[in-house]
Amino acid sequence: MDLATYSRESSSNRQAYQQMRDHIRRTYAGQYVALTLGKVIGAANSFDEARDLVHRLNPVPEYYLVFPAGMEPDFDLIYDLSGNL
Amino acid sequence: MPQACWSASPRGEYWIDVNLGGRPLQVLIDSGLIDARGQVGFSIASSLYDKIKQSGGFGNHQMHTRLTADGQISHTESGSLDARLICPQPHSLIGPVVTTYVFRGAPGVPDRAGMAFFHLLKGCKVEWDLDQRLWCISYP
Repeated sequence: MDLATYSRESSSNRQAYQQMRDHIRRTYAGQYVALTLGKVIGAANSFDEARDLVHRLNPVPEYYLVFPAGMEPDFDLIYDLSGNL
Repeated sequence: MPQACWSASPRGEYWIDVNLGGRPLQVLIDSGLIDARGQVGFSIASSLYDKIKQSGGFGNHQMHTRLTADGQISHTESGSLDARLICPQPHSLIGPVVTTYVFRGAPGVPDRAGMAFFHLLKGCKVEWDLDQRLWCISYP
């Protein structure tokens, strides 16, 4: 994913999440939520199951997040400047 | 306050001792592992990460986006656990218990402690003795 794609997608998904936050917390309490393309595509009881929901899409979106419904997803970029050595 | 110190390796690296979810581990201090939210304290080998995950050692999981020095942006998962410093001499747990997220690191990259871990150490201070090449942490 390039920086332009990240910036665009994280911004639009963040905006979408802010509008859906209360709904997500109520509807999917206790589950992991998969968020991509500005919408919740599903939720599951485990992290891996929720991630699989994204991987089943065709094409698989470049940007997505999986997070516990009761927590804020991490839209920010984490710097890992030695992570590719 | 009592203090624990770690000497630089011959390569100039600082490896500190930590307990991650009940497992003693040496991790490299990496000032280039920076999480604006202050939640991701460590990056560990994918094999160890998977082992902890399979044993149910993590609390929550999250997906993150990560920028590496080559400009690549990729997804990386993390899991939360309790971490604590281990004093190298004597080998004992010290300082506060912190709950932090741990990255699933890339193969071949050392296990590392990022800035977020140190920022979570409430009441502690780091003293870096540049002349003696010592990384010391004072703890309550």
